[in-house]
Order: sequence, then structure tokens, then C-alpha cells
Amino acid sequence: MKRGWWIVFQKEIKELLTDRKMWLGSIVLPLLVMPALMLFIAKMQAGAAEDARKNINVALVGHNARVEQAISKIPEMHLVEKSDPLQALKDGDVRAVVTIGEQFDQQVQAQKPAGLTIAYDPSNQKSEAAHGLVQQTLQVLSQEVAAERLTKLNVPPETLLPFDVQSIDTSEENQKAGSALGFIVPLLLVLSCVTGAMPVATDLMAGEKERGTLEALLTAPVNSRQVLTGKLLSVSVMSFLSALLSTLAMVATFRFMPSSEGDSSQDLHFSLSYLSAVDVLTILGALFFVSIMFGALMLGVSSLAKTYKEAQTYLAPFVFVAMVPVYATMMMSINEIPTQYFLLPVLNTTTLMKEVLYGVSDPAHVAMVFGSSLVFAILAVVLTANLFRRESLIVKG
Amino acid sequence: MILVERVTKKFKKIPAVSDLSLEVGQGEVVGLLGENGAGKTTTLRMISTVLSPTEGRIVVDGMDTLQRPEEVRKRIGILFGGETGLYEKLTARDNIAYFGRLYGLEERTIRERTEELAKRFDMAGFLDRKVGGFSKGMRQKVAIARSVVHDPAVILFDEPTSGLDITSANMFRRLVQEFKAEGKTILFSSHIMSEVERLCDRAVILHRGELQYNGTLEALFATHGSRDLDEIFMNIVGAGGAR
Repeated sequence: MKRGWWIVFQKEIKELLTDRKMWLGSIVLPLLVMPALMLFIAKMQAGAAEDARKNINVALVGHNARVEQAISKIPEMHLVEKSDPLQALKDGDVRAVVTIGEQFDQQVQAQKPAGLTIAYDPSNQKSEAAHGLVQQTLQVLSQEVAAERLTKLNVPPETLLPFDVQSIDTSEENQKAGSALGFIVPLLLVLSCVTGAMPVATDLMAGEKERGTLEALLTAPVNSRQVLTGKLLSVSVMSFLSALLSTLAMVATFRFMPSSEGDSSQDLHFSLSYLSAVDVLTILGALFFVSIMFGALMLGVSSLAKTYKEAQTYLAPFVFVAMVPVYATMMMSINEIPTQYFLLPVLNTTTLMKEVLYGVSDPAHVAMVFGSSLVFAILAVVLTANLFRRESLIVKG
Repeated sequence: MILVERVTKKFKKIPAVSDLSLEVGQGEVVGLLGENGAGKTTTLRMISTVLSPTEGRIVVDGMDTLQRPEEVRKRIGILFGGETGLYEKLTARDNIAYFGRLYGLEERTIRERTEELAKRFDMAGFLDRKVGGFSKGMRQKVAIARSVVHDPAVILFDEPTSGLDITSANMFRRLVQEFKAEGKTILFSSHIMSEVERLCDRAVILHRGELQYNGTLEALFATHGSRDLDEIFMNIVGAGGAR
């Protein structure tokens, strides 16, 4: 004879696979919507960054041939004439206004600081980018003039550069990728666990309670532990499946992710291909425990609700529970993360994922996370089992 | 077959059933009568092991409900009224088969039994359709088939004709008579006096969780000098309520 939990599990999965709500929440959302959203945002950002570097209209007030020439030399920059340049800047017709002081030529001639102002709109990203480019161009021009003056005085221009400061990038390609992905990947994966489990837990407990099927089920000769095991397994499987599909969708998404030129991550390819099989198994293993913990807790909370809608309200805060740990380590580099973070619920998983994505594999941390997650999963199951045994689960009011 | 011995059930110290004793013999049909909140459903839930008595004990077919709940459940078929407790996204056949499996039946037995019940309850036309689109009467047929798929010796019905149209209610009454002829023990709650009068060998009347009457309908009529069960019920409940 089949075990009771297996019969319950088989039936739940069969029913879930015929339910559009579940498909939407647990499969379509992680598989299509999340990657589509990420791609859309990335494309928008890349588009905006590219746009910011194209067709930069700059208004010039006053005249100086060298300044005009320096700005015109930049292919993307176009000098335009406007009757009211500042209004044009406000209206977005120009991205910066360069004003050459009235005494500019004389001051340059007299080797005095000659006034140049750049007006821009910091609330406009394109104007901000134009400001940076104009400032850089004028800085180069200023250095050229300074070099000419020193040459005239027979002083080598290098005299004013006592240090030759060079920066060396010590990070490896996967560390750069890990640093960029260390926030978004754990966030998406843990969120997928929650969003995958939520509709299932709501339906399998509060939904069944509301429809009267739970009471009928509890009159069958299967003990409540087996019924709960079958349900918990169904919720955890859907939660884990959702995270797994998210991972696959993310790998596919990163292949098509546009990289923005001129960005510091210019050469960075958003690929997870540097992860080894052990890394992937470590991430999935950590998510497995999180799925069980969330599944159990959600079933427990759902059992407190009398209706499906009530359960939805009770379960909504789980999304924040999933997000807080990710934000807690967002600004930390992996060597700044305190050891105790590897022992705290959910935070341990997101921290481990961040570490793995960064290319660090520390068996002690893996053991800490797996061990503590196992304890939290067991505690969550015990708590829910106690909630499931109470008579108020059946008796309304 | 069913023995309820000095049973009390309290919810947060408030008694829903107080010191109730009753017995239902094999092959007997007993009606559990009472107003809403009289303790009928609580009594049926305790017999079916879903709830535990606060005091007293319940024995079904020689098994104590607290000591051997799973054995008791194997011997019972229960149908709760109002909500039929069916899985809407599954077909009628899947609903019946699911409970057949939970009751430990072999797949072959489940198939045969489902066909037999489908013929008996005239369900063949919708056996493979999802329950979601069914009428109340169709649901009730599936729910009854599901609750007797394991051919139980004891059947508990809680307000079984609540919300049913006349055809479905008549079908249910015919079924009870058939089950009785098969020697099954039936305890069902109702507040429809004519139904109880037509189907039951004995009546148990509850009011505010307390037993008001337990005996044959003939004895009840003789004691009250009337055959109007509605009137007798009101007299008993009135007297009980005044106590």
C-alpha cells in the first residue's frame, strides 16, 4: 500500500498542474516575467546610457576659438546657438551651457585664471553626462595651455607631475561579475522561493479549509503528520521548482544582457558560466533548505487564516522577509561579512550565494549554512506540525 | 456499533456538548435532531475522530476513537453537509479515487468500486468531468460516492439534504434506505422532521449540547400524545431551553 503522504503529494501536484493560478505564480512568473523585466530594465538603462553619449547639444555663450575647437573635436558634441541658453537647458534642448568670461582672452594672455562656467541640470542624467564630458574636455585644454606656457619658460611640463599614479585592477573576471551579480541573483532566487511557495501554501491550507476539503481529508485513515508531509512536500517542490526555473531563466537572460559602453563594467559579461558544478549545487542546496523552511512556515501561517484571501494577507510580508537579508549585505564586500551572518535564517543563504558568485568557496561557510538551514527547516516543520494538530484548524469561530 | 459514553466537548471552556451518552446498534438508522448550535456537528466530528472529547469516550465497532483513531476512520464514511468538500479542479472519478487510495484500496478495487457507485448514483455521464462546473445535486452524489468508496460499516451524514433540490433530496433518502437494507449503521443530523420520521428507527434530540430525548419515534409520539414531530420538537426544545 502506498504511504499516505505520497498519495497526498501526488494528488496535490496533479491538482496544482491543472491550476492556472499556480502556473502563473510558480512557473510563468519566474520563467518569463522576471527575466523579461530584467532584460527590459537592462536594455532601457543601456539605451539611456547610449543616448546620453549621442547628439550632445552644448550652447556656448561668448567666444574663444580654442574652447570652441576643443568642444567641436568631440564627435558626439554639437555646438548650438540659442537666444536664451539657460531656458534651452531647462527645456532640455541643450544638455550644457558653457559661458566664456568677458575678459577670458585677456586673462589667458596675462596668464591669469580665466573664467569658464558650465551650467547643467543634475536632475537630468543626460545633462549630467554631458557635464562630465565637457568638464573633461576643458580640463585637457587647460592642461595643454599650461604645458605650452611651461615650454615657453623652458620648463618641461612633467615638472608639474611629480607622481605617476597608476591603478591596477586586481580583481578577476568572475569577481567583477560576482560583485555585480551578488545582489541581484540572491534577491531573485530567494524571492522566487517565496513567490513559488506562496500561492501553493495559500491554496493547500486556507483554500482547503475554506472549501471544506481539509475536514474531509482529515476523516480519512491517514494521520495528520502524513497529510502535512504531503502538503509540505508539494509547497517545497513548487518553491524549489520556481527557484530552479529562475536560475535557468537568469542564465539565459544574462546571455542576452546588453553591456553599456563607457561603463566601468564595460568588459564585464554578465555570464554565470564561470560557476562550477559544485558552485551551482551549493546554491541549489542552500535554496532547498530555504524552500522547506518557507514552505513549512507559509503552511503554518496559512493554517491560521479562515479564508484564501485572509491567508494572502498574512503571507504577503514573507516577500519582505526574503528581501531584507539581501539588502543587509548589499553594500558589503564578501570579506566584510560577519561570520554570524552564515548562521542566521535566510541571511545565511543569501550570504553564501553572494560568496559563491564572487568565486569564493569556503567549506566551513557551506557547512555552517547547510547546518543552520537544516535546523531552521526542522524548527519550521515542528512549529507547523503543532499548528496543524490544533482543533481550531477545523472548527470555525 | 457506535457508543458515546458521557461525552463532553468544550471549546475554550464553553461546552458545545455536555455529558452526552447514546448508542447506535448495527443496521440502525438514527436521526440526530437539534437547532443550529445544538452540538450535532460537534458530536459527529468527535465520532469521526476529527475532534477529541474533553471528557468521556467514544467507541466505534469496538475501537476507541482516542486510542485507535485510524482504525475508527477506516470503518466510517462521513459526509458533511453544506460544503461537499470536493476538489473542484479534479474530476469526479479523481475525487473518488483519491479517497479510495487514502482508505488503502487497491487501484483495481477503486476502478471497480467507482464504476459500481457511478451506476448506482447515476453519475456515469459526468464521472470524468471536473467537479468545478457541477450542480449542488451532482456534487452531493460525488461526495456520497467518495464517502462510501471503501464500503464502510458506519455512515455519518451531517445535514445531508441541506441546500439540495427535491430530486436530489429524494435520491438521498432512497440511498439511506438502501444502505439500511445492506445492514449499515447510519447516524445523520438533520433539522427536517419529516426526513427523520421517514428514515429513522430512533431519534436523538439535542438542545444546547445536552441530550433531550433518545428513543424510538413511536415512543416519542406516545409520550407526547401527538404524531406531529415539529410540535413535539418545539415542546422538547422549549422545555430544555427553559431549564
